[in-house]
Amino acid sequence: MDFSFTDEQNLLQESLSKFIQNDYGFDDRQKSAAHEKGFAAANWKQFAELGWLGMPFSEADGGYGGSAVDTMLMQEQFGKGLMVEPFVPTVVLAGGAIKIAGDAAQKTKYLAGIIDGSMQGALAYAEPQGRFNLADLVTTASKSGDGYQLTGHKSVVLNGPSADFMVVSARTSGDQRDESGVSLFIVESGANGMSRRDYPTVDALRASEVTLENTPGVLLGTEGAGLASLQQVIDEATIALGAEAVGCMEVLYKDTVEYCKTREQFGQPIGKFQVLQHRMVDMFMEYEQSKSLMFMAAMRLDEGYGPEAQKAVSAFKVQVGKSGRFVGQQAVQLHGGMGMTDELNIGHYFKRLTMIDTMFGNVDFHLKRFGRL
Amino acid sequence: MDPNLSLSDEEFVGAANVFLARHWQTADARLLGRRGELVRSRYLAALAACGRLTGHWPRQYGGLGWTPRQRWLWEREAARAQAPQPAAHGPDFLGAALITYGSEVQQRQHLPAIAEGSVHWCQAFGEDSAGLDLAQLTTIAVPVDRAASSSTGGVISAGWALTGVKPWVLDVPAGDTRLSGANWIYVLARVSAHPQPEPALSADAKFGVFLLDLASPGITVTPSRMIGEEAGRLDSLRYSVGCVTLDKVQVPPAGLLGPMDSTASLALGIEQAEFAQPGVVARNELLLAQLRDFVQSGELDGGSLWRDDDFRTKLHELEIGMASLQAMEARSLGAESEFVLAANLLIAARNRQISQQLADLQVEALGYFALPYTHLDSLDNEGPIGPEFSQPVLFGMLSNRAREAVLAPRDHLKNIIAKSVLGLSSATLL
Repeated sequence: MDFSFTDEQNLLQESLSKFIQNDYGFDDRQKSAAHEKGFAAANWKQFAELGWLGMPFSEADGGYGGSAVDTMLMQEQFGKGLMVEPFVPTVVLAGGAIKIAGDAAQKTKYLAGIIDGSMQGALAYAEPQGRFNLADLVTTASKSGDGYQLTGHKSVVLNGPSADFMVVSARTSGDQRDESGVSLFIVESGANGMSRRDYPTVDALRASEVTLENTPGVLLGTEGAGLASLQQVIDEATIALGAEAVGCMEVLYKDTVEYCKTREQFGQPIGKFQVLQHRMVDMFMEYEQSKSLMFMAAMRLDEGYGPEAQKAVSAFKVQVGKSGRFVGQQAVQLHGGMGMTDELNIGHYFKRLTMIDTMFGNVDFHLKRFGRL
Repeated sequence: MDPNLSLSDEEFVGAANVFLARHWQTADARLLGRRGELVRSRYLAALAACGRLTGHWPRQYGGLGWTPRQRWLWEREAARAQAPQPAAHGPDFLGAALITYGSEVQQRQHLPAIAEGSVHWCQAFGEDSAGLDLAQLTTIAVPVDRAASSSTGGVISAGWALTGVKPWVLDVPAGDTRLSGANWIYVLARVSAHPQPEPALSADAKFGVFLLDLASPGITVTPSRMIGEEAGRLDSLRYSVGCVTLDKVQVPPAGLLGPMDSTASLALGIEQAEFAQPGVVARNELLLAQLRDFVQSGELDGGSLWRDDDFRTKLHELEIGMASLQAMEARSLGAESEFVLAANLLIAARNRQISQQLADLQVEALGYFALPYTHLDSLDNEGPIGPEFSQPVLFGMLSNRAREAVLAPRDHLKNIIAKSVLGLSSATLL
């Protein structure tokens, strides 16, 4: 049992932490989010130059790392900065799907583009009726000549507006919720029959409702056996997103403690009131417990993907969902009215944490999954 | 980052399991009544004989020089084997204090006796009027010799006479059965500069920790029955609470531990040692696994409880809580001392909550069999009533609550975290 990082990982964490501290303050973040695409292209270019976009990929795939721990430690820092740049949609979700299911040619084409920053991606897996069930698919794909044609509606596709390509899940056989018969496809943005309705999310990201009508797609992986790959991508992304939440929680609990040390009411800092102290202690404990399960989940995943790793992921997501909401709500409460203003960062972290609970399955969903595994 | 044990950890765990296999059968944990008590004391004697009672002490003090990681691994294996837990006052609390603050004479007198298991200690800090606020202590040590009181205010004495009442002493010997329980006691007391103690508590009062043989003249021990306890029903006698009355108990100079101006840090060290309970999570995990097996067995109303989403949710929430505390324990091993303290406090606070939730869940699962309250003699002669695992449950649930109330309660732990981890100032703590 070893919870220490390698020298490379320590350096990576340091350089990310410096970037967030020096170049990604809350004002910078707000400026990024206000760009037309919802993030700063200059930042993305810098991430590519620093090699960050290649960290989740192994050297064989043209990357520089490839472990879940690498992605985890990056996402934790991104979470502290409440970053809006689409690292999870492009690198972890779209890139992850191609890393897991792609053939050599697909990897060469798409992973290279992701790693050098020239390509944006998205994973279109959710559907209006499916809730958190990855296999509940109405979207269908049928063979047409050399390729496939896809028809259906994919919901809340993060980074949809900027994506150059999307990895889309669709049913090639079986009934609506069958585990077999799910396939993954690569669909180029702007392909025939694809239409998008773009919108911002509550937590300042960008997403799309995507409609496909006989839209051409290229098969990614084995036909009918895409669910396992999709599940793995989602589990990897769950750790990444959870790590982001841990970063958010750290900022919230520390900022709240600092605020309560200086904010005076009734002639004394409010941090002297025991009721408030205990709430902050609970915030601290929720953060640390989440962080502990974050390490376990990432380490288990790096041991190999299977039920053990899945169980660790679900345990982590349950904790993050509960802790994130608690820490977010308490931070807002303890900051008083200021906590809900647009001007202060607190409310924005709260919104992000609340959305993270919903992403990839909320507390109840993962508690049940944990029990089944 | 690696979730697995290193090769040397594996070797250490291997040796621990060899020891456990030789001296403790998991089935022994199910022995109740006096037979159980006998088997347990035999195991504890083996523990002491192999040095494992104080394995975490440095070698020069008679320990095995275990690292914090090895200590944790040992406690985890012992917990998984359901081996009895020795009382911590000697090996953990006083032992560490003696090693840091004790004179050579005190170390020579007390450390080997603790390591060999020949002397068991109990602790007397709190009082009726001084629960967590130890500055209100009224137990007083008065210098025996008037001439020894120096003009500079320092206390030089040929000895002291201790007087006071300590009503919340854990692990005192209970009743007429002396299979376990302590035979020595360390007492926190106010130290008077004069033979006639001041009537009012002065702000610059001095305190000392005194080491006493429980058999000294002037000491009376009265066991206090806690809820869930009944004379003759105690599965583990050292868990009982007693009231210790001190009436002019004579203490020689070597009975004062460390210089008096280090008493505060000494007491703080003991308090912090109380929060660190390596392996404590593993014990709860085992209880949870037993509960899970019981519920899953399908004998109860056709297995309806296992299919009950509400019950399952509570069970899985506990599992996840324990998993995070396990990881927290592992993270703290070999970490910086500030993080170790924070982690210990967090684990102590959360684990107490989990223990009580677990006990509630056990009672919920037992249904009617939570009711029987079997006398020790009846257990010896006729065996348990209801499922085997039900016997210690109610007793455990109640005694856990009593224990938490006597030791620092959760809210107090939060006060300490607020102060020492988050840097939030509040009322003064010793």
